[in-house]
Amino acid sequence: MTDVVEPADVDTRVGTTSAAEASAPAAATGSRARRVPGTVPVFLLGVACAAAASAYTLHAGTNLDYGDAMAHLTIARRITDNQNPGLAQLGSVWLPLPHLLLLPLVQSMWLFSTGLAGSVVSALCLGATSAATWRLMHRLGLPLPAMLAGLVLLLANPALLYVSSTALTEPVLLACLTMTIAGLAGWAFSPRQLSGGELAVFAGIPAAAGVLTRYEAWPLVLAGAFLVAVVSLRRGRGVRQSAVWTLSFVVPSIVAVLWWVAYNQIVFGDALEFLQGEYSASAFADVFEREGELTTAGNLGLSSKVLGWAMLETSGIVLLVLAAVGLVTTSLLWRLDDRNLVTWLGGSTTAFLLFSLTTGQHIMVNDAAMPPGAYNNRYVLSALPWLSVLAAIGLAHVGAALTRRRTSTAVAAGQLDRGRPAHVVLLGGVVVATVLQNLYWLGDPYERMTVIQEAHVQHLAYVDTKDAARWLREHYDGGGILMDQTPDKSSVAPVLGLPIDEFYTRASGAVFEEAIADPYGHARWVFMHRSQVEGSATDTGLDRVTARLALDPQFHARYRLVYAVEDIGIYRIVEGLR
Amino acid sequence: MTTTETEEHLRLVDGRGSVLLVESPLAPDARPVSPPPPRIDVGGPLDLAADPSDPVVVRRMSPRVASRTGWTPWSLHDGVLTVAALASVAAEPASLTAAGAVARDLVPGTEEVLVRTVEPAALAAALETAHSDRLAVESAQQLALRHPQASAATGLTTWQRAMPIVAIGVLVGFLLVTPISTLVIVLALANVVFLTNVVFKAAAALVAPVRRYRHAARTLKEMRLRTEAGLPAVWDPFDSDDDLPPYTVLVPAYQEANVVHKVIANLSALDYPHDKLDVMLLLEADDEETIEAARGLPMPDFMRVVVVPPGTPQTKPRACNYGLGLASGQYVVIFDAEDRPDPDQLRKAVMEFARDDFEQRHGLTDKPPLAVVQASLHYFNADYNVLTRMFAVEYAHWFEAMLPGLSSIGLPLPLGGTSNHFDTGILRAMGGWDPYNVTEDADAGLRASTEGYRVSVIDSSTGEEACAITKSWIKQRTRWIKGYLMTAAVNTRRPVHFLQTAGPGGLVGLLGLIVATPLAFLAYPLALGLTLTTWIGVRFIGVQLPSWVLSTSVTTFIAGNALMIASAAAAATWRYNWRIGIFAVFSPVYWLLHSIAAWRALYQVVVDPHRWEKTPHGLTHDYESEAHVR
Repeated sequence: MTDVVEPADVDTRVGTTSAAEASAPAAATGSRARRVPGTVPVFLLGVACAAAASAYTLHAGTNLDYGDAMAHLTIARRITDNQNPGLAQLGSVWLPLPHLLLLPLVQSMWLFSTGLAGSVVSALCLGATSAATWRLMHRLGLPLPAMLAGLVLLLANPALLYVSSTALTEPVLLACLTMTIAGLAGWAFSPRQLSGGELAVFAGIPAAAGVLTRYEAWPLVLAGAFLVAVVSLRRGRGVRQSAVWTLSFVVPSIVAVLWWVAYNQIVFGDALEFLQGEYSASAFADVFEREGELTTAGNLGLSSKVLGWAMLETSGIVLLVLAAVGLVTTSLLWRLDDRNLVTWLGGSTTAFLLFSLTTGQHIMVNDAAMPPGAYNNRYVLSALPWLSVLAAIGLAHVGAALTRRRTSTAVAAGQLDRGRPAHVVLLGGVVVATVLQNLYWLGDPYERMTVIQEAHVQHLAYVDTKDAARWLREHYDGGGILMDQTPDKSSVAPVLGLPIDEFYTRASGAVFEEAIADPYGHARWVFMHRSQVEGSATDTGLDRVTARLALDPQFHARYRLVYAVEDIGIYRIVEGLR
Repeated sequence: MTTTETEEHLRLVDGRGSVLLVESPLAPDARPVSPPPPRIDVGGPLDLAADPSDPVVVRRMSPRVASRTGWTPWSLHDGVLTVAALASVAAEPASLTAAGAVARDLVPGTEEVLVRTVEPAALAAALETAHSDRLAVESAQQLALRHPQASAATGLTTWQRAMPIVAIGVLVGFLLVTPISTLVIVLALANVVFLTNVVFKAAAALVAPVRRYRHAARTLKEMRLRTEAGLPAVWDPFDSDDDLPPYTVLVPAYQEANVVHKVIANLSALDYPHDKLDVMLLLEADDEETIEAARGLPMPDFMRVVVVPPGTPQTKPRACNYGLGLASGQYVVIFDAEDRPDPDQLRKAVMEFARDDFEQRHGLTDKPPLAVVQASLHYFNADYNVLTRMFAVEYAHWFEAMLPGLSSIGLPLPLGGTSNHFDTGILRAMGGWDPYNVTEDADAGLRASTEGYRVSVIDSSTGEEACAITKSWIKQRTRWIKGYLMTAAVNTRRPVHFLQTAGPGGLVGLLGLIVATPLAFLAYPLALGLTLTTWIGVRFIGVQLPSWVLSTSVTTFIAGNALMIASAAAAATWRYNWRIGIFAVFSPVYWLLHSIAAWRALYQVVVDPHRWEKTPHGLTHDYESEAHVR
C-alpha cells in the first residue's frame, strides 16, 4: 500500500486549510483524492475476523450466552412472526435499529435459531468499524505502521471479537460511532470543502443510525455538532454558514429522535415511554436502587473506578498505556487544533458512561464495584476504537520523535510520517505486546476478561431455561404454547427454534389475556415457573401465567407436567379432556 | 413587423420547411427562365467595407444554400452582379460556371457576373446580417403559424386551463360531503399514478440490457457474415473523411460568460473533419457580457459567434431555430457550452443515419425513417455534492436504461436537452423546435414520432455539468416538468387525432412518460403522506380507512420505491461506480425535490406557461470527478 500521506498534505491540516484549498489545483480536489486506500481490504479483514470469531463461538455454543443477544433476535423475528405482528413489536426497551438490521436475516429459522443472523450483522459492523477507524487514522495523517498498529489493537481484542459474533447491539453502535467520526474527519480535512449534504450523508446519517442504536451515541451528536461549529468558525465562513453545516450534521439525528418519540407516543401513548416505561433502563435502575446495589449513583470516585476497571479488563493494559501516550502527546503537540478535536470525539461515549453511572442512570458491576459481580461491562467497548486511534497517534508521535530528535519542530508540525523505521519497530512491539496480552487473557478468560466473564455468568443463569427450551423443541408436536415473558425465559425463542406465532406471550397482545383466561382453548403447551418468581429485577418479572395457573386445580387436572428443571415446568394438555 | 408581413415571409418556405430557393416579397414575379449563360469574370478580393452588400440581392438566396455552396449574390450595379464567393469556389471552373448561372437566374437584371473572393468568416457574417430579420421571425413563429396545433404558443386551451380549478373544486366539494370516501379515492388514485409511472420506467429499464445483448449479437453476426463474404468486417459507407457530410453544431448560451471559453477546447476535441464542421455559438443580443467574452476568444475557423436578434420568446429553442436557419450541415446537433461529447460522437451519429438510409433504400427495414439520434448524457462533476450524485443517478437511469429500453420497444423518446443529432431536412420539415415549449427537446422527440419518423439512441455519451445548487436545480426541474406538462397539453388538445397519428405506441409513450412523470411527482407527496395520514388519522382523529387501501398503498409505495431505487442503483453503478450508485437509496428524498418542482410547474403552466428559468452553469468551477471514467 502506498497510502502514506505526503508532508504537504499534513501541513495543510495544521490550521492552513483555507489557504491550501484556495491554491489547490482542481485535479487534487477530485473524487480520487478523497479516497482512502486500503478501506475495502480493511473492511474485509474486519468481516473475516468477526466471521472467524463467529465460527469459534458457534462451535463452542457461546454466541447465545448473553440473554440480550437472544432477546434482540427474538424481537426482530417477532415483527413478522407473531400473533400480533408489526413494528410495534420493536417495543421501547431498546432502540430499534439493531432489530431492523436483523429483521431480514431472522426470517430464516436456521439463522435465527443458531444466532448466525446476529453474527452476520455484527461481522459486517466490525468490518465497517475497522474501515471507518482506518479512514479516520488516514485522515489524521498517521503513517502506515501506526495505522496498522491501531488496527491490530482493535481487531485483536477478544472481547470485541466475541460480541462481534453475537446479536448484541455494541457492534452496531461501534460501526455508527466510527463512521460518524470518520465522516466528520473527512469533512474537516477534505482538500475541497464538502457540502452540507455530504456532511449529512457521510456523518449525519451514521450519527442518526447511532442515535437509533444505543443512547451512548446521543452525546456524540452533541459533541459532533460542537466540532462542526468550531471548525466552521475557524475557517472564517461566518455564523450563518457554520449554522448551516451544524444543522446539516444534526438534522438526521433530530429526525431520528423525533421519529422515536413519535413511535413511542403512537404505540404506547407516551412519547417518553422509552425513558419512563416499565421496561426502561430507569425502571431497572430503580429496582437496583431499592435493593441497595446502585452504589455508583452519586459517587464519582466509585463510578470512575468501576468504569476504569471495566476498561482495563476489556481493553487491556497494553492498549490503555499506549492510548495514554497518545492522549498526552496529542494534548501537548496538537493542542486544540482540528485533529485533536476530532480525536477527542471518540471519548464522548466514555464520558457519557461515567456521567450516567454517577447519576444512577445505569448500572455496571465488576470486581471494583460494590457489591462485585459481572454485569454490563461490555458497554465500555464503545471506547475501543477511540483508544486504538489514540494508541496509533501516540506511536506515530513517539516514532517521529525517536527518528527526528534533532528537528523536533517537524514533529510538532505534524510531520508524523518521517519516522518510518522507528514506526515499523514500534509496530512490531505492539504486535508482540498484543500477543502477550491475549495470552494472559486466555489463561483465565472468565476471570481476566469481564465481557467473557459476564457472558459466562449469563450462560449459567440460563442453563435450566435453555435445557427446557431444547426439550420442548425436541418434543414439540404442534399446538399453541402459553408462556409469559419473564426475564429468564423471554429471550429463549432462538433456542426453542419454533415459530413464534405459536406462542401466547405478552407480545401477542389481547390473545395473551384470552389464553391465560382460557388456556384449554388456546394452548397445548404451557411453559411456566412452577412457583412465582421472586427477586426479579423489575416489577415486570412476575410470571403472570404462574400467577394464574400454578395453583389452579383445573389446570393441573387438564395439563400434565411433562418436563421440569429447577422451578421451570413444561405442561402438556391431556388429550381427550379438551 | 406586422403579422401579415410575418406570414408573407413565412410563405417563402417551401412545403418541407426548406428555405433553399425562395420567392422574394419584393420581387414576386422574379422566376428563373432560361437565358443564355452569362459572362463570368473573376475579380479580386471583395472589400466588404468599400463595397457593402445589397440586402435585397443577398436575400435572393437562402443562407443555408449560400453557406453550403460557399457563395452568395452580393450586389447589382448596371447589370453586373457581384457574387461573393470563397476562394475554393472561385478556383474551381465548374463551380464557378454553376454559381454564375444560378446567380444570374436568382437576380433579375443580371447581365454579367463578377465573382470576388471573400473569407469564410466574412461570408458567414454577411449572410447572418442580411438574413437576420427574416430568420428572427421564422425562428419564433414558424411552427406556431404552420402547425398551430403542435405549438405551445397558445398555451393551454380553455378547458385545459379550467381543468385543475374544476378538479380542485370537485375535490373540495367531495371532501365536504364525504371526506373518508374522497380520501380513499385520492389516496388510491395517487398510488395508481405513482405505480403506473414506476412500472413503466422499470419495465423500460429492464429491457435495456436485453437490447444491448441483441445489438451486440447482431453486430457480431453481421461482422461474421461480412468476413465470410470477403468484405471488411465493419460496414463503412464512407471511403474517406472527404465523403463525410457537413455537420452543424449549435451551441446556445445565455449569460454564460464564465464558461463560454470552454467551447473551443470541448468541441475542438471532436474527431470530425473540421472543414466539414460548422459550429455556431448562439448568443442573445442583450447578453453583451457573453458576446464580449466570446468575441475575445481565439475561435478556430470552424467556429463562429452568431448573435440572435432580440425577440420573444427569448428561449433556447428560438436561438436554435435561428441557428437552424443558417445551418448548412446535413445533420445538426445541439451542445451546451460546457458539454464534452465523446470525440467520435458525430461519426457514430452519421453512421447511424447512413445505415438507416441504406436500409430504407434497399427495403431492409420496415421502421419509419430515422429523424434523430440521441446520445446519452453523463456528468463530469457527478460526485461534487449530494445533489450532483442524485442527478447523476437519475441521468444514468434515464439515458443508460430507460431511453434504450423505450427505443428498443419502439416507443417515442423524449429527447434530452443536448446531444440530439437531427437530420437537418427532417427537422426543418417538422418546423424546427417549438420556441414556446420550455422542454423543446422532449417535444421534438415526440413530434418526430407523431409525424412518422423514428427516434433512436446511439452508444455515445456527452459529459455535462450537473446543477449543484438546490435552488437552481428546482428552477431547472420546474422548467422541465412544465415542459412535460405543456407537451402533454399540446398533444392532448386533439386526443383522437394524436392516437391516429402516433398510434398505440405513441399513446403509451405519451401517457407513460410525458403525462405520468409530472403526475407522479405531483402525486408523490400525497402517497408519501399516506403513512402520516394513516397514523395521525387513525390514531388521533379516529379516521377509519379500509384495510385494503392501507395495505395496497403501503405495498405500492414500498415496492415502487424499492423497484426504482434498485434499477437506478444498477444503472448508476454500471455507468459510474458503486459510490455513485449507492446514493440511489436517497431517491425518495430526491423525489420530494421533484415534487416541489412539479407543483411549481403546475402553477406556472397556468399563470406563466412560457417562462424560461435559466439554469446557471459553471457553478462547480473546474471540479473534475473521475466517477464517470469507465
